[in-house]
Amino acid sequence: MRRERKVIVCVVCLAIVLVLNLPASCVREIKGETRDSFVPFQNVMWLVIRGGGDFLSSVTNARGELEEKKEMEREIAFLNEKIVSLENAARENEILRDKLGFASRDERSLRLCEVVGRDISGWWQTLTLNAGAHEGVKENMAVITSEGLVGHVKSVSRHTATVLLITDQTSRAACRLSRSGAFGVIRGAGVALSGKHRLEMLYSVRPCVMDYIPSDSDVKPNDQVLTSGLGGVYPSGLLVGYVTAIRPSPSALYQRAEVVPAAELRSLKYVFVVMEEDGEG
Amino acid sequence: MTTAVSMIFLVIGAGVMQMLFPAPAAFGGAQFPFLACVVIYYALNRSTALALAAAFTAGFLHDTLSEIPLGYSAVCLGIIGWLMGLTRDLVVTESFITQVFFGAVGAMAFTFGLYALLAGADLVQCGFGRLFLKMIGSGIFGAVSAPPVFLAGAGLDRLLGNIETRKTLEDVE
Repeated sequence: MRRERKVIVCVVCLAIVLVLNLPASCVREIKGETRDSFVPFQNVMWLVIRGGGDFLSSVTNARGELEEKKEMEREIAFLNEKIVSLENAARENEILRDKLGFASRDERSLRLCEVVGRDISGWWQTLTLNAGAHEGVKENMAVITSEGLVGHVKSVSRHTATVLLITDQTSRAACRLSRSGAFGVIRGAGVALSGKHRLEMLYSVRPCVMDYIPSDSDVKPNDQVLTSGLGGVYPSGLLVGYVTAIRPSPSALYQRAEVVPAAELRSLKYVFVVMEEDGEG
Repeated sequence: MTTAVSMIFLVIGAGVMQMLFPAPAAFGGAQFPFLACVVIYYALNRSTALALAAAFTAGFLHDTLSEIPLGYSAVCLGIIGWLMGLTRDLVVTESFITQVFFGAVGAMAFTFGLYALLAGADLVQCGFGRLFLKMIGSGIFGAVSAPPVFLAGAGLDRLLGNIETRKTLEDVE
């Protein structure tokens, strides 16, 4: 028994030393395979949690659910009508562009992905998506919701992808202000401790910070911050957030703006990965 | 064999739970340390060898599901498991107070140890105030996580017949 335990201790110590010295490509493969294997367990847990939640809410709010269903049916009918008229407008737009000799505008293909997990360590702000290389997701692809930018794909395995949120301290994005056109660099400012409304309870997000805005730029609160496309990671024109406060940088050469993310990062269930960009008009 | 099966099952379950629970900002983003509690369970209730094996398994899973370089968590958990194993014969491991205490201390040590390694590799930046808050948060969550993990671990071991007898100081079992 004692000998067996000594063997186990030696094997474990050797394994730890080996793992610490593995080459980066090997580590990436191992991490990817393990994440892919872990997804079924996460899916089962989510099914149980969501199923339980749905059952409870249906029991406690049956009448409210019925009203909500009627409202949603009305909204679907309205949206279907909108889709038909937008499709007609798009067709007309294409014909007119062709006649006037304009090139096609940006067309981004979006892939809907489900969020299956968050960072397990608490040191980074990342999401795990249920789509990976097999589904066409690649590193450095932008990730958005209908509200705004969420982040970019940091690493990809066969069937999962890890997304680094824009509010992570290591996140950087080249941006511009939509009203004045001033360029700057936005960086994540981590997790805040205060309890303001925009700082969510469970996953509070301190506003991002936009640096290197020229000191003579006209910047006002509520100005929209968009990606500029200059950084090479994010396509241009994606909504990042809104300016909440402006102050000069310590050097007084630039201005520094605090930006609140437009996307609701606390309770993300579904996101879109920006798959491709076909060039600009 | 059954010990390995129960360990893997426990580690996977702890990993899933740790991923699902949110990290409250009020506690510096500290996570519920279910994986660390699995290692503490094996350190206090089984042998040091099993604690190290659990540390490697839990640390491996912890690193692959985050951006931490492979092996960092295993090193921290291994040291914590070994140190806690030294106190195995000195405490009553079935006691709720013991589980809460060791859960809190182990979680705080894990947070600090991991921060030391990550900051040394220049992968994270964290002021001392934020680190202190995160350690306090980890301690509280560790105290809360340990009893259910111990309960699950003991239940699984009893189910699979893994329970070992322990020698007392007078050599009476």
